Amino acid sequence: MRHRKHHHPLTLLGETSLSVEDGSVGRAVCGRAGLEDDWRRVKMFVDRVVDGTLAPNRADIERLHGAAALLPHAIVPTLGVTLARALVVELAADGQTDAAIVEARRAIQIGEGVEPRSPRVLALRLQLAGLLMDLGASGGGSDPIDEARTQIDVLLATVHELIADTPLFERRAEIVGQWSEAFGAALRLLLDPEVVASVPAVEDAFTLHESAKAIAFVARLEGMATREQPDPPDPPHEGVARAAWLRAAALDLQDRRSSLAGIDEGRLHRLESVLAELRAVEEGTAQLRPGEGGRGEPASAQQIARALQRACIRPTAAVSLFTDSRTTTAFVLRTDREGVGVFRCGLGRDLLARVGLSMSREYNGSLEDGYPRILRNRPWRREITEWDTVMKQMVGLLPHLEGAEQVVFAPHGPTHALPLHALQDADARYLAERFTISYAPSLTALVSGLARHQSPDRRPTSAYVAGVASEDDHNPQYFEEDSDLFATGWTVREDAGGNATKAKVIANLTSPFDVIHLSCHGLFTPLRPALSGLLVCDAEGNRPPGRQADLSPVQRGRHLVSVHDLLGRRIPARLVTLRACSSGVQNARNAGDEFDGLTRTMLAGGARTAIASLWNVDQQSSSELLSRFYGYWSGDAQLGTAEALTRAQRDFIESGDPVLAHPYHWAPFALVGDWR
Amino acid sequence: MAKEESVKNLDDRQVTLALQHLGWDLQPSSAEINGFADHEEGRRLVHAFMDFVEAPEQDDPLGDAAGADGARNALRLAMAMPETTELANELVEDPPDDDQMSLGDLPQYVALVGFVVAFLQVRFNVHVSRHEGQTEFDFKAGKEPLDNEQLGQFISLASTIVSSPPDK
Repeated sequence: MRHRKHHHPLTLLGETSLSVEDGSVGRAVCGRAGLEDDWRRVKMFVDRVVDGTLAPNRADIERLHGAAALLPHAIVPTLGVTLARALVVELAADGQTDAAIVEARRAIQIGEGVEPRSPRVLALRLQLAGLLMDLGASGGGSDPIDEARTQIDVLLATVHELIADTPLFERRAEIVGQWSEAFGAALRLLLDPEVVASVPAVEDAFTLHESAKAIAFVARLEGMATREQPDPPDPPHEGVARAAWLRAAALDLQDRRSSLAGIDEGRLHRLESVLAELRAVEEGTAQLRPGEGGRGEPASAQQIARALQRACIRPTAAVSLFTDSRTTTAFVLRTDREGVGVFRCGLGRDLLARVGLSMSREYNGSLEDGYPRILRNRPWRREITEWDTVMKQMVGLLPHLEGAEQVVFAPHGPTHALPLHALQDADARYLAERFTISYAPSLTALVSGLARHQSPDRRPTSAYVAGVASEDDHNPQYFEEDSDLFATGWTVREDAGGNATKAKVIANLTSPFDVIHLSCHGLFTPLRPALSGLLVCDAEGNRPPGRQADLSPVQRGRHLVSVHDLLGRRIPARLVTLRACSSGVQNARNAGDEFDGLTRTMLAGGARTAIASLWNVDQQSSSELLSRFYGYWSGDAQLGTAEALTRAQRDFIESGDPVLAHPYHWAPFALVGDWR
Repeated sequence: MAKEESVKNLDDRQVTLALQHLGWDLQPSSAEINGFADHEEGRRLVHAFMDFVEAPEQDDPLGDAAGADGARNALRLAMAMPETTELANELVEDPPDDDQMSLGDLPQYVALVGFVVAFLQVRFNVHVSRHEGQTEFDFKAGKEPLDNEQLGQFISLASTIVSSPPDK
């Protein structure tokens, strides 16, 4: 007998992959609920509620509640929780906080008996906690806050269970990213004076936020055998190489997971076996892996403070940011003070993301709608109005930096795209005028990097320079004459134009130069970050096409030095400079803080420091800036990379030339990693 | 004439980039047609404008002095018009160039259409109605009317667009 599925149509709510086979039952149920016109509309309606593209009408939700009552028992909780989420939002928006809280509690009670770890129930806990905190903050007493704390505790415990059950670090990061709002809510409970019961638990909050930042990157960093000191001994070469290969394969498969689903199940099974093999290799080499935290675990405030004290000669502040939908929190660790400082302001993720996009559009223009680039000699014609909002809010951070000479920022989310060194104080002085500034993917990553390298004791002398324009560039010389940036005293090997082939560039990246300076176009592939990279010449010396959208897969293979190509390779350079268009652009993987980009690839490969641009640089001014930077750095063995770059930036700011003193010209580069 | 010499001395790319800047600078916030991506619609708008002013058809507008260098003429017009004169003169004196390390490909024709469409929307009340894939344009004079000479220049410019193939 042919097996026939008897899915009730309303079981399909949110499960669009299943087929609709029993429309009559659905029509009957919806008819009883007063929605008899078209039951398919009901399904579409709830699908859109579930995927967040529709804010439902309250009357519709209540009618669907009626429909749910007619459904088979096993189906009701899932549907009920889904609808309750929408209803809670509706009620809260109406200002009916008490009713919203009651509805959320009711739905959680139903949901936790059936699917306690489902995103639906977790999201409801987050909603409920937010409502309770708002209630407590507006004079509702301590009970709502206590209940909110319980909800967040359960939520974070569940998130940690989900993380622990997930073998691949990138997937763990995905989960953290998915629940970054929960971490944000927990920070509010620990830090916000309106809801904190007694004394803010700053150190707990610091540990919590650090655990939500860049865990996959830290794990990858710790997985690299790039320690300069042979203590402890490096893992066996073949094990490291195999682990690197497996990581690359797993990453690649994960990137393509959605496109493979339903098409090539065999590849997905292969993914599972790859992951199992990877786990075995990781476990086998775990004891050999360097780093303070290990396996992607966050470093504590004390560990970070100790590492900074060892590495810093001058008073230094390390500022780690965490941004959720409403608030940005800055944790400040000082080498000259005990404890953790904290500063919170009302800069939410969306606003900061808008500022980054606006900055990119105003400086780079837009190929999409033909918006023109900034005029190099009249940069002040472009305004990024919300940047002023950011500066006004961030001014509150400055008292925490008083007395420091050096500041290391570990941005989070959209702040990775912002030139924090170009924030201004109340006297309109840029931070770069007051402090030597550098960046780190996270403080744990910074500590891991510092632990893997010794402080350099000689000035840099050797550089590899590769420059490749595209075949459509109007001025190829802008890219292909960068050896001129290195003055007397440097030994430079240069591959320019047709000589800069993919094979040569990769070979030289892994050679022992002090500086790798790459001047070429970047290719950023948001959906497949591992296939982002730099475009160089193919084996025949042909330049890459200018229209990147037209690159065929074969051309990509020939011209692209991708993140994928570099995974698992050791890059021994003290500094990698990426002077390509917006080379610092990164992709937030799955809304988390796992920014995939060339900068992190270089650091993960072992480079101590990377310099990348936050927007498309002006050829003339960026040449001058980098030339001054290399000159300062090589001229004084005591001068670190960050200090040399800051000096070059200050030369521009103090030049008296209003063009060069505009951030578009002096602030395009961010120095990431070891500043020494 | 110094300004005339300056315009002549610009290379084609500089003229294109200058028009791109002028088009965006001129664009009113209430513009019905925005940006350059939709330059085909812009071209139809210019066509409708030619009908509106009942401009005589030109068999070979590219053959006369105005059409031979439409983009440069647009720049000259911008230098003369009060709403664009300051920026246009600045751009001619210190022309924009491909000075970023990135690609930016904008055909001169598209920049010219963008400028003319923006200009049209500044000087005329333009209403665009889109319905079932069809676009209709209504014009009303009434903002700041062009004098006869300016109108003649503008019509000449517009006819360049109408008659030029889009890939120019």
